[in-house]
Amino acid sequence: MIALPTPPTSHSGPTQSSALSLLSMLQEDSQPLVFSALKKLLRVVDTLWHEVSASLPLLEEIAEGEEFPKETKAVASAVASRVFFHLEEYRDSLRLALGAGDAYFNVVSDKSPYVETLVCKAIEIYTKVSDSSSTADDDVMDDNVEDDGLKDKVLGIVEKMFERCYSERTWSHALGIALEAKNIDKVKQILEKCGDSLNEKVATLQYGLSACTTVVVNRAFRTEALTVIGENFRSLPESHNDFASLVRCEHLLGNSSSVSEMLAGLLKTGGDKSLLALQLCFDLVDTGDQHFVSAVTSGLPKGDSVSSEIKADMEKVTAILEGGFAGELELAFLFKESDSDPLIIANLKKSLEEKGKVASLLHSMSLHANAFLNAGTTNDKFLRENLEYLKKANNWAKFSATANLGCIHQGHVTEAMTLLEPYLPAEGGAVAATGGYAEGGALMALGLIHGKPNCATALRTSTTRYLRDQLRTNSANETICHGAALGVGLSGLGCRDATIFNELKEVLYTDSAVAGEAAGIAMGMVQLGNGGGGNQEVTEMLAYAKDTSHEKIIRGLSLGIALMHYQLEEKADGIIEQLFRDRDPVLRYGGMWTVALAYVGTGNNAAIKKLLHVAISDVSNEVRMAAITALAFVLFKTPERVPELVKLLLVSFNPHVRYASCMAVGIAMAGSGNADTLAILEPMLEDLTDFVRQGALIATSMVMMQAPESHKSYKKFKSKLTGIVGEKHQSPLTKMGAILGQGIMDAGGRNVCLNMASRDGFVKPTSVIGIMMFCQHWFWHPCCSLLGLAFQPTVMAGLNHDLAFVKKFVVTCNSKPSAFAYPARLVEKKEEVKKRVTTVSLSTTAKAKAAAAKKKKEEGGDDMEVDKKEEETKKEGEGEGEEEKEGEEDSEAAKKKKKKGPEPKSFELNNPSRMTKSQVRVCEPKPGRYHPVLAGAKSGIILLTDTTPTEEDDEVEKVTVPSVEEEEAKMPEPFVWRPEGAAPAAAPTTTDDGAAK
Amino acid sequence: MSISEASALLKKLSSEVSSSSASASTTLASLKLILVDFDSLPPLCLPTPDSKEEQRIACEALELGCLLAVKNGDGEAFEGNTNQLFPIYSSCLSVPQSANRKKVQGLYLMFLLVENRLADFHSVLQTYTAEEIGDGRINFAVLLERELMVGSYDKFATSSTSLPDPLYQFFMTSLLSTVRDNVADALEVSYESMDLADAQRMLMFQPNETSAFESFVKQSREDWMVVDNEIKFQPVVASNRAEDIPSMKLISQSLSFATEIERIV
Repeated sequence: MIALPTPPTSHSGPTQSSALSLLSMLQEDSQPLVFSALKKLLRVVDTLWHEVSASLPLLEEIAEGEEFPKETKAVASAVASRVFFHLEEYRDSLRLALGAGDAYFNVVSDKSPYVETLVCKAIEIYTKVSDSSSTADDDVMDDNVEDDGLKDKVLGIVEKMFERCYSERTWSHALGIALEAKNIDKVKQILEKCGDSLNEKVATLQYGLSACTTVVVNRAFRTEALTVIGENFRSLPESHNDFASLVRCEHLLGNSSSVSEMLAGLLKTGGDKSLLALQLCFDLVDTGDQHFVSAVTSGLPKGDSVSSEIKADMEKVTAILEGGFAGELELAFLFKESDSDPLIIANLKKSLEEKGKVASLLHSMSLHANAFLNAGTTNDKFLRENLEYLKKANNWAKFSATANLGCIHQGHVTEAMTLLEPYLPAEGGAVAATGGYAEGGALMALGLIHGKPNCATALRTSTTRYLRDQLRTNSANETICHGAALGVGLSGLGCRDATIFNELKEVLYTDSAVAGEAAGIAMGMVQLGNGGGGNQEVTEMLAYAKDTSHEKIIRGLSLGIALMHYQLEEKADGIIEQLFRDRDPVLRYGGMWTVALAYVGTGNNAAIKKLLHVAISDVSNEVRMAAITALAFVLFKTPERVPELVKLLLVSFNPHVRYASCMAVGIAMAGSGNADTLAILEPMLEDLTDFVRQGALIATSMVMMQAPESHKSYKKFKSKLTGIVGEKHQSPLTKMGAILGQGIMDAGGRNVCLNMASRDGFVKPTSVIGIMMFCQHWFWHPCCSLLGLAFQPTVMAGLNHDLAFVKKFVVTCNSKPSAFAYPARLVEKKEEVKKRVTTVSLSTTAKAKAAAAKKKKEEGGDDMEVDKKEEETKKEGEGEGEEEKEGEEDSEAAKKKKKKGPEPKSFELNNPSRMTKSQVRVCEPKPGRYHPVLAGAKSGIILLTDTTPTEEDDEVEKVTVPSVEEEEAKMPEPFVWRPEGAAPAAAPTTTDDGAAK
Repeated sequence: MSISEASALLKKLSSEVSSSSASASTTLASLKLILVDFDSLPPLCLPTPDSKEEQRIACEALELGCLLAVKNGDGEAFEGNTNQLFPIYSSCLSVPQSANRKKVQGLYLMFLLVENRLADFHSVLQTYTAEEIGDGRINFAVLLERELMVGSYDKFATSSTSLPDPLYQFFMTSLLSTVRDNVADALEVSYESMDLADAQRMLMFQPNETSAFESFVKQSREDWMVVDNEIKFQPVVASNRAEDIPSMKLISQSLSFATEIERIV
């Protein structure tokens, strides 16, 4: 270490310590004097480097000339190197440090910032040198490496660093360097070396596994490294087996057969191991990779080959993998624990109706908001109670209104057909060429209900078949075709079935703009991630896109192409290049989305560079928007980087760029409640352009998802959202943002969050597609409904061996209850406010009220009971209702807080309950009779081992799917629409489709 | 131990400097080798038990070094020594005033004048106290600078006869040539031709220094031509023609700016 000189203190006046005297000694003739001066300089260079920097040429002359003895030269190099270090010229600094030698640049024992930084630099050069495949972004960097023989010296330093890591047993550092340098031999060597301590080896392997998915950009090397890591995992002895990581590893490699074998093996061992197998199955399903899951399922032993003792467990496994058990559990959770506040949508409706006639746009958006609020909860009470309101939807608005049912009932596969029956196209009925909006919407709703891959496979395939039939029989009506095609795409997501693909292609070739667009997208969904390397189908689609004159079809096809390159990374580069260079902006637009999907979650720098370049240079606003939004997709695993990256774009003069930047930030930081992000979005809420305000509102709502009431910005933003809707002079587009925002902020009964990754860090295709399609609402408002796919329940559910909830399992949350509490329900506004309402809305409210009262009579007060029940569950869910109340008051009146005792530092969560992303960190399962079979599992579905299996536990609860028992009561009645001729069908469809933008 | 060694060497150096012995510079070098290890000196300025004594020795040794350099007519060595000396003055305020201090300070100002480093001259002057500036040896340099700045070169000539110390002569000689150069530059531009005798007077050569004057003209003003007792100055070459404007470069620069502005988001 270098002793830092203490600055002279006892002085007055302009006196400062100066290195001038030492520097002037360097020019003296006496060599010993120069040497002594240099040594003294070395002691002060860290503070006086600015003075020394003027003499750098002299220092380098001494260091590199022949005049001085070796020792003097070394000190001179050391001094000069430190000056360069302070000047942040690390390359020169490293060069001189290497010249100075070990005495002054001790890699092994010195841990000063100077040495650490230079070692980083050395490693950087090392990784560049050894990574021969890199296309050398920084040629400057690589050029000189060969020239001045730095390479060998750098290698020496890195080698020493490896040694240091070995001796300090910091294996993960060494492994990180080796992975970044793409040196597979080193990886092997490290894994071999750390083998003497098994615990360390497991930790190192786990680190390597996560590093492979986050750091390693090159696909080929990743596979190579994962293979090595997988081998090492498998070679671990019984006592240290890490099945969860091994499954992840095999999943990344796509080895379904070995996973099947492993599962079968675990089941055979029985006991805790079979529990573990069930846990692994849940984790597999959670990744959303349906292709892999079904491959694993088909690899499992079946029928007679299953021995009798494991038969029961095997049934459970299949129920989870393809029986849709995970989906049912999610549905049950969302239904039971829903904290959806009916007043949000009721107030929204009220403020919309205050001014008499509701604009079609806002009306339709309010229905979307309702769908978001209740997504996946099967709660369609608002629709049932407000049929009059619902009836105002016309044309495409009617389409989305029906499609929204699918969003609300997402995952409710068992009763999907019964639910939607009233809207589905009549069996054998004649098909009109126009109209059919409700029918089309219902078909899309079917797709949405079956969109998530964790629902029963058999039901999905049968639905796909039904939808295909509809597609064929209704080919004359483009609206129904549109809905059916999207439905097929969603329910057949990633099935790669060539017949379905061809059927969709037939629809495409009818060259109908509306149906063709949906067909294009659906084709991509069916062939998700199956398009790489000059695929014939991609070529055909591209050719047709160039052939057709319908912009909508081109857009649909380009999005389809994007979907087909999902997660293909480098394999998509060819088509990306082609699309980037196309003259048609719509195809370039597709190119941006291709980058977004091909590199989703990789953080690939080359892709980001490309996107940023387009974001500032393309002539088409839409292309620039897509490029910016795509950044959020590529970077979603390191979301903090997005606000940083688009900070400058947020102040662009181009409103489209500002809008897209808002959306990118919102998508990336969804559910984080991050204060910095909210701060950079805040000025955008007051932007001069209406749709930028819309984007900012949507983005902020995304960020504020699941935020507790105690969040700093909660009150302010919430009142802003509700305020904007009622404002007289606010633009409709801004209002639209506020309405959607209200839906998104409290989406899915406040139990879901936007998230593109599964808990294991796999990219969830449904979520990615959901968000991507939501972004298309710019062109086509019905696309809003697809956001429902991206909502992921933030659930913590402990299951026992019988896959039932165990009530005795409790999780301790080490934080104030108010930090993660559900926001309080809204309360009905005071009467005086209501009196000021205009007569028109009064009459409608009265009507609605009358209708609701009538309904209630019919239901026999069922609703009341439901309400009460919900409240009870909520209280239970919170564990301590009392304390929650306290928390609310805290946030309301800070003064009162001081009088009352401090809030408790921890509270307990019952099983199952909501656990938000940020909450996971502070939660810990409470030790008791049950504990997780997979140590460290905190959120999601957790399988529990029973420490006293012989003892009866009566506090268990089966997973029950909500169903439409009270047929009439639950069913929203079909719309009563005017006869087709009388309806303003003559109005062009574009009035509702949002193309106005 | 090194302190006693140093003070012994200092004594030796002092006598050698006053007797102008040739071995003085080697003594100084070995003394400096000891001084460099004193932590009490800048830039470290650590408090050591003997710091006062160390600083005193360092000051006196370096002052002697400065005088020695002037005696030897070695400007470079003088600057090196002052660079080592002045930080001690400014950081170690407790060092006692030595006999040579003001002389060295004055000489340093002279040196800066010769080097035409006027900014440094004034910043160094700022660090001197009023009492120091009042001293004849320092004041001489201050007045001289004022005269030079005003351009009263004739007054400069008279002041060169009243030096406060013989050592100043070394700098005065260099200063005279600097001044002479300035005058010569002015002459070139102001006149087309000039009488030899006038020129000699203007360039501050005594009437009896004709040969020195002639060699000056020959050596440093090669483009002056002496014809019939008259000096012909070369007219200044006119410049700034159209080709000198880098138009292509400017155009491409403006174009690239325009493209960049287009791209600014």
